[in-house]
Amino acid sequence: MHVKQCVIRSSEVLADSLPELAGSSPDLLLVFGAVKHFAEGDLAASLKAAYPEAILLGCSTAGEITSEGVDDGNCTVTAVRFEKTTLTRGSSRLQGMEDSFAAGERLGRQIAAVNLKSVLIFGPGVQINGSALVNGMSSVIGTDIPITGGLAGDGGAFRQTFTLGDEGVTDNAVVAVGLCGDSLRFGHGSFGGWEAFGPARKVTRCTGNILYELDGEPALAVYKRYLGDHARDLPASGLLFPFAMLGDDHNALGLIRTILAVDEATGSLTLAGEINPDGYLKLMHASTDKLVNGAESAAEAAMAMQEIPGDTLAILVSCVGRKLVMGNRVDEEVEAVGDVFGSRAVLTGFYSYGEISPFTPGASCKLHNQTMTVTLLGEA
Amino acid sequence: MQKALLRQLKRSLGIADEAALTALLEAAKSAASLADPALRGLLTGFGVLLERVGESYDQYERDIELRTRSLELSSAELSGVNDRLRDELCQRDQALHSLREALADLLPAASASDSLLGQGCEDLAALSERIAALVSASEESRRALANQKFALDQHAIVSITDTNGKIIYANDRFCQISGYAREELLGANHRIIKSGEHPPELYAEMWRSISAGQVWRGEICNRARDGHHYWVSATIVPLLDRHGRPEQYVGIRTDISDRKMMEKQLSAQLRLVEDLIEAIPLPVYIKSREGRYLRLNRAFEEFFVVDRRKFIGKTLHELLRPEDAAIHTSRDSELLAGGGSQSYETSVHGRDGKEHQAIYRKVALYDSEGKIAGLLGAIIDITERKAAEAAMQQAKEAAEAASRAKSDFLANMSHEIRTPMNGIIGMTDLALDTALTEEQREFMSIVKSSAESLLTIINDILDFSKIEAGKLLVEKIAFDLHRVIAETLKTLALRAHESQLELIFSIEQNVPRNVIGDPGRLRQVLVNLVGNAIKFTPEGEIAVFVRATAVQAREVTLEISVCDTGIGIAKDKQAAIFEAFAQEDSSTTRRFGGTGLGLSISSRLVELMGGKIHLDSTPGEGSTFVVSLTLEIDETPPSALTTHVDLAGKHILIVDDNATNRRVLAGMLAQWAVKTRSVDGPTAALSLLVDQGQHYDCILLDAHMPGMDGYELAACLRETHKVTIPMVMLSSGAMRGDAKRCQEIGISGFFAKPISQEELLAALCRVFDLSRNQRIIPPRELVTRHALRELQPTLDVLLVEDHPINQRLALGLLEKWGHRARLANNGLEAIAMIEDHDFDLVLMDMHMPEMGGIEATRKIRAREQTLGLKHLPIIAMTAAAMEGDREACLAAGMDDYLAKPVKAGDLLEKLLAHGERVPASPGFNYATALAGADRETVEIIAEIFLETWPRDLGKIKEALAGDDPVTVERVAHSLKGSLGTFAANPAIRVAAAIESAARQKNLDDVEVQLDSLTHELESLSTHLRQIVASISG
Repeated sequence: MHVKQCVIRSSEVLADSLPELAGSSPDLLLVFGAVKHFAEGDLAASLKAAYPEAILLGCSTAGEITSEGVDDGNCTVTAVRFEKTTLTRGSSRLQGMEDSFAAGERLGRQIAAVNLKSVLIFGPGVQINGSALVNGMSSVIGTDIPITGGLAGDGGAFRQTFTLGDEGVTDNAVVAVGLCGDSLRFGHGSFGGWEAFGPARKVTRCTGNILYELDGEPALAVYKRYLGDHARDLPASGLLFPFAMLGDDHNALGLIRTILAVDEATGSLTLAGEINPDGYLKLMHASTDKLVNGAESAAEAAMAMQEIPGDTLAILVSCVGRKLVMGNRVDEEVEAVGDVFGSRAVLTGFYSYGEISPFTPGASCKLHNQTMTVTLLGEA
Repeated sequence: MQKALLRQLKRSLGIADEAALTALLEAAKSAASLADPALRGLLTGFGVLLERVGESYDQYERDIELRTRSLELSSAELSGVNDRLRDELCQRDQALHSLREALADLLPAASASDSLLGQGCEDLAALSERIAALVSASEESRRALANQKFALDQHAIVSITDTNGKIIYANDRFCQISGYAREELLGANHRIIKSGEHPPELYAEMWRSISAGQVWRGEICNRARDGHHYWVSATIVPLLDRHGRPEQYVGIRTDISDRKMMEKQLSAQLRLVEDLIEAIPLPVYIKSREGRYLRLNRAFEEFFVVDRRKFIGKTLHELLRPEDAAIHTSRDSELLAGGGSQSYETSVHGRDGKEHQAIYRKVALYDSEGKIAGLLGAIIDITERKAAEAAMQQAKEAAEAASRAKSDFLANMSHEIRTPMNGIIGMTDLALDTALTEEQREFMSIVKSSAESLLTIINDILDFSKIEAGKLLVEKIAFDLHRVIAETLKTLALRAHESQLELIFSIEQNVPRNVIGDPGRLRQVLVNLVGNAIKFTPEGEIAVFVRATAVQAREVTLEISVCDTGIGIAKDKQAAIFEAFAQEDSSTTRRFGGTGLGLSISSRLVELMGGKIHLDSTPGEGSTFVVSLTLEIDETPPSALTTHVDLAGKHILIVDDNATNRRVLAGMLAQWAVKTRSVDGPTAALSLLVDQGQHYDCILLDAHMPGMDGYELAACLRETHKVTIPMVMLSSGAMRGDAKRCQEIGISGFFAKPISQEELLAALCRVFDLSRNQRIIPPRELVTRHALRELQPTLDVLLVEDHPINQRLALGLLEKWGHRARLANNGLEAIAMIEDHDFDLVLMDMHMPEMGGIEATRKIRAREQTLGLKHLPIIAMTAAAMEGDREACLAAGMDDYLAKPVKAGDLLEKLLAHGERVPASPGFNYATALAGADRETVEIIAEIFLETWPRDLGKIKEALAGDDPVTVERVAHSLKGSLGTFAANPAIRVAAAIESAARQKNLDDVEVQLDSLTHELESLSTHLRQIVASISG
């Protein structure tokens, strides 16, 4: 496997940077960039023109990740050439949040193949039920195939995100690539580092991924109380207090949910994924150090999964909430991951509105929030 | 700019405020272009750095602020939650506490043992479990209760009323039985079903009870909707509230209407039974198991003359006399123990002392379980009956005694009267047989006829008396009907002949020969009827026809008609003539004589024999008396007369002037397929035989014909015309000497008319000499009766008779007939004489001194048996008319009997019947025996034996006299041995008998045996003497 990467700065033009990738004859081009790169210009056309053989895959971000750290406003293009692994591709338009499961199914059918080993998936970051999407796909391809990826971001605006597939740039398509073949080596890990605090609050009213009431109180009111002045910055400031999902025995399920939107009228919170209507939620908080340690854990987990010789590509999908918490120090978590993987790994990735990964090796894939999700690819 | 940063900058860089900082940064930037390249970065980027640092400080502050805020908020929240929880817990505690208390209340019994509740454990789950258990248990009880209620409802009529009697609940059965719908019942007062049958006190008392909280029970009659009444057994239960006051009344009832009805019926029945017992005219009583009177009826009171009230509960010991009580006590105990019934007769005394004969009938009474509960007795008073019985018994005995006296009288009279009559008649007969002068003969004849008349009259009177006394018995013996009638008529034929009347006899073929009845009486009737006919017919003929009108398997109904051509009887006199002592008219007696008893006796005799007699008569023309009689057919006749076919085809000429006779003869002959030709007189006969030269196998001649009589004709045919055809003479007047005359003329046979069929057959057989070749058993009479008699060999007859006249009479007759007669005066003499001499026949009188006829006969028979002698015919001569005597004779061993006074004809008949020439030696041939013995031995000892045996016999006689059985035995034994040599079996037998008798010391019969031994030895001696004689040359 060969990986080459180029970073297009905000002020630069794509066409100028592309020659850095020359000679790579890639099979896959991973593109993660700020919204403006997707919204304007002809990103897809340029890439297609330059590398007509390659599959395009990517999305808009709330921050770009490279081996050097985290940037905003850039666009990273990572070219990957596989020796033996074959690829399948898929793309499906999402028709509303309720279509999330079906879209996942459609996508699954597209990328399904005999020797499918793993899937990379990217979807819109708003108006989406991320867990339903993942479940939809799992229902088709089976729960054994690891699905990793994430939900696109839009720099924290939570207004409009973009994805890039073979059809080009859209704001409502879910795109995926399936990796097939026995020589593929794959590792993943996902870790948060958040800690729950306070009382366990009973979910008293919710529908799917919309939380109406906690303990009989409008969920939004709870948030506002805790955020205080920062409530002005909702929904972004909501990232500061994700929810820990608890079972009805008050034990943590290990899942974290971040809000995607708020509704003043109903006092409800739209979360990135579904929550257990009989369950409990606790508020969570994190410190930078905890988060960095979390990222490190994720990387270590990914490393531990499989022995991957040769060059590796690490796709880091981190959560925008973490960036908000860590502020300037956000680079540290990328550095921590890079330290774990070593110099032979090329890092790419983005800050998303939801991470997709199996929770534990072999477990079904879930939508995560507030985690550092790492996918390590290589070939044997 | 962060204040902290600013402050720090102030301190470290000496910057006063933000504006100064900004100016410094500007200055730095501008200095950057002049500065060292290494510092350029620092100078230009310093501002950025400060920004970054400032941001970080902001971030940290924000983080801290948020965190602090979070902390406070969550703490507040948590304590709030905590408080809330505590409150809730407190409430919960309270709730649990209340629950526990409630449970404790609910289960006061269980709480003591229930550790859960006792320890105040807060385990809610356990408590709820407990409650669940309670509820389930309660549910169970509720279900059980519901079931019970259901069951109850099925059976019982249930109603619930409130305290005012208003019905608040009525079950289905209530509605059903009362006929009201539930809606009508609910809310109505319970009195709607009041029937009005009960007094108000009942209801008042009921209310009192149930108001007081007590259960009331009773039987009530209620009224249904449609008005009909029904009975219920009710239980009314007050349901009490917690203070113990009734708040509801539950009435549970069962329908007992059926039972009530049955009770009514039962009591009606019981009343009926009561009345019945009272009404029964027999004393009836019922006793308990202990023997105490439970009930006595009116009849009982009257019988025992007691007041029943005094004796109910008492035992019989108090009622009866001790001797009476004793009888019944044991009987009662028996009955009460063993059950069943008793019936016995006893005498019992009433309280008034009157004695009753009674039959006690008792029966054990059982209770519903089948155990004996008492007894029922009924007394039937038979005192009067007993008295009546006793009186009747006495009367009966008196009557019997009278009857016996009458019989004895009659028997005596019979005997006493007949004996002298017998003498008179017998002697007269004998006298007439001797040589007499005409005058004497005439006198004697008159005497005889007078005597006979008298005898007839006496017999009639005696018979009549017997009949009147009911003493006349009709016998049932087997006899030959044809023969009896024929013989009877034969005897009458002579009289008819004397009156110049033809006596014709015809008996039809289908009349059975062997019947069972009373021949004597039949004879009597016939004699009477024919005698009358002869008497009252001046001229013409008398015909006796015997027909069988009905022949069945076992019996035959005969019609015996006696027809005469006499004077007849006027119609108005016909009934009367059967009356005793009546005759047609008094003139008849004068003209014809007679007692007038004959017909009445005959008619009674016929009636006694079960027949009828009736009369057809036309005055001036004649009369026909018809006797119809049913006799049993004897199914085992002694012998059958087999007809033989060999007479068939023979031609026989009948010569008789009487047409009826001719017809009868022809009829008889026709049965044997004989061809007959009849002519009415000698002229015609001669014409046929001589003139026409017709040939016949036989000629039957009537002796008496006008013109030339039979004899003359026969003589004429034989001598004058040399007709050699055999001839048989039939004469109506048979006389002694006729046979001779026949012989002289050459007539083959002679018979008195009327000739019977068998006589004719026998005669013809003899004529045709067929009897030898044919296996026919000729009747006792052969060719002629007289001839038979004449042919009969001379008999040795022993007459055993004590009465001199009878002796004379019998002996005379016997000698007349050419027999040898000896006389014994009594049984003893008879036995002696029998031993002495072989007789062919014994005529034994019954009543004799020393030893009577019965005993003598027994002894004779015994001797016969012992010695194995031939049976000696013994004929009894008995005067008795008694039935028993005849049996006694036969039982004793007699063969036959003659009634006394003995008639010649009867005697002759018996002689003919029983007399057979007994061969000289009594069945044993000594000669033969000797021939078979050892001749040499015989020769040696014969002479000596002849000498010694008389002496031996003498020795035995002496030993007998001296009562010396030992000697008797010894001598007999040696004699026996000697006799063995001669093979003289009879003698040996007797000797052996004597020997064994002597051995057993029994010398009683030895004397008799000795006599017979003597006899045997004498016989043997005869032969021995011959042998000795032959030896000596």
